[in-house]
Amino acid sequence: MTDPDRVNALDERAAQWALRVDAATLNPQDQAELDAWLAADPRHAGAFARAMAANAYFDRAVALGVDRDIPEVATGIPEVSAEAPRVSERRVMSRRLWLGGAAGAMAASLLVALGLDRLAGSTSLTADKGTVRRTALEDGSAVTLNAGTEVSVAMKPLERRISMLAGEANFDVAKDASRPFIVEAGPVRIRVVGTSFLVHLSELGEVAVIVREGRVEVQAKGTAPALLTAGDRMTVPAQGAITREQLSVGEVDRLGLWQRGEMDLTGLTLGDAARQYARYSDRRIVIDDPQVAGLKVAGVFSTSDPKGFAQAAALAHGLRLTERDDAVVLSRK
Amino acid sequence: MSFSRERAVWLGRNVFPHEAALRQWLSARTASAGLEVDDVVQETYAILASIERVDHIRNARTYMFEVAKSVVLQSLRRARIVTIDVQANAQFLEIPEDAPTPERVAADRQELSQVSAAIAALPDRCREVFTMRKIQGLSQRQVAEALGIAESTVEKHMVKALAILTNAIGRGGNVRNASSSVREQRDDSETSDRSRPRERA
Repeated sequence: MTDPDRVNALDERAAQWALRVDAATLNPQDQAELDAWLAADPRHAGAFARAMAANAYFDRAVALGVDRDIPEVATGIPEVSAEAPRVSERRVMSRRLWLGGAAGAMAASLLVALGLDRLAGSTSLTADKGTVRRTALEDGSAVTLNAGTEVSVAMKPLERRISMLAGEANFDVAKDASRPFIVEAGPVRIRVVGTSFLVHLSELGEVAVIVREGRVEVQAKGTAPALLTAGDRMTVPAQGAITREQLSVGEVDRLGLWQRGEMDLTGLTLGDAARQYARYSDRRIVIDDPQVAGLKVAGVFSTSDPKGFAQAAALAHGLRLTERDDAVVLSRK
Repeated sequence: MSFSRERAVWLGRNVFPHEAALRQWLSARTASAGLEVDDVVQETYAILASIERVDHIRNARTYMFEVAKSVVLQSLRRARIVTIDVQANAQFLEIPEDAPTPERVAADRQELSQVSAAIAALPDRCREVFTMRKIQGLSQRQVAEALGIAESTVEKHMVKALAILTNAIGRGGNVRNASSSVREQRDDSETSDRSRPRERA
């Protein structure tokens, strides 16, 4: 007979943390331990969130009066073993998904799952419409290109040099103090040793650099180099003053969502969102009614799934969704 | 990662009640792709816990399915274990039409009795500790004193109780069946793990 009380070790650990957090018995040391545990494996954050959810669910069920049917506790029952069954440590690629809030340091480990393109000399890398491309470089660094991005890569003995021609890319740079990693985007030159940062070069020539981890030296043409640290965003417009601001962890994560095939459409109109999708997919979202196009949307959506987004939007706003060969059409009911 | 108590409550109220349905929906679709339902579910929770706001989400069940779907698609794409055809197939990952989400799912009588049954089916000591802590509202120390056991033992029972209950409800209602399906699922995934094409290095 199967043991109905078997639970896996991860679920049990997550339950333990959820209960401790719920009972507010965490001291700073426990908190640090919890943080470390959450950061240790991307699965942990999900398991923890699930356990917190379940705990809240049972609290509510109990409050609603669940106890009527529960038999009285018998006495003299031998104590059950609280030992957790062993669970094999299987590695699955989905565990390497980058969890926004869970562990910023995870970004680099994603790359394990990717094909390792060996690169030598100067090579051009492009990500076409609808694709986000990650490429591992020979030094262990990795470049992730957003749709419509082109860069050229030159791995030289004394430097690693990337020239960005257009688009948006994220760089996870392997530490190598003897070989600086240099990214050139328009008039801006970024020099790093080991870090993770994102560069956006707009069609109008504006460059934004956002540092996720570590420190980055950024130099715009004709200015002194500036040192950016994690969370800093520096914006260098084609003309006008350079601005610099500190972003929250959540904002940095949101800006990197495209790397896992998502985008945050919060605050956009349906029309804007449809244009965003046009960047990733040939399946268009068509909105003829300007009033419909002006409706606001919110949420994080998969870039590869315009229809899924359109369905969610239709659901949220009570719209009608019709499908054509190459498009989904949103209209009023 | 830390998220607010409010978010935990929101997840408990709006998401966890649909976990079993999500698993069922996923299991038919992920097996062929070599994905593990557990991983997709965890990832879905992680995303729902980390998104900044949830107040714009009108239908949490559909939203949860959407998130899970994007996790699946993303995984498939990343692992390159699936062809474009599969992703383009509209049937694959079609999210089921939902009856209007009951606002107070836990208030549903049937569901409450499911929870009762799950609690009743706990091992005795677990049930005893769970009942004293959650229903009678005693502290861990009070329970330890009342039962004459160490506080750490109380915690162990409580942890086990919550983990068992979570799986009983989250994996599909029927308590006994739920846990055997856990086993099967694990066995399946072991197999699919082996048969899955390795990531190319």
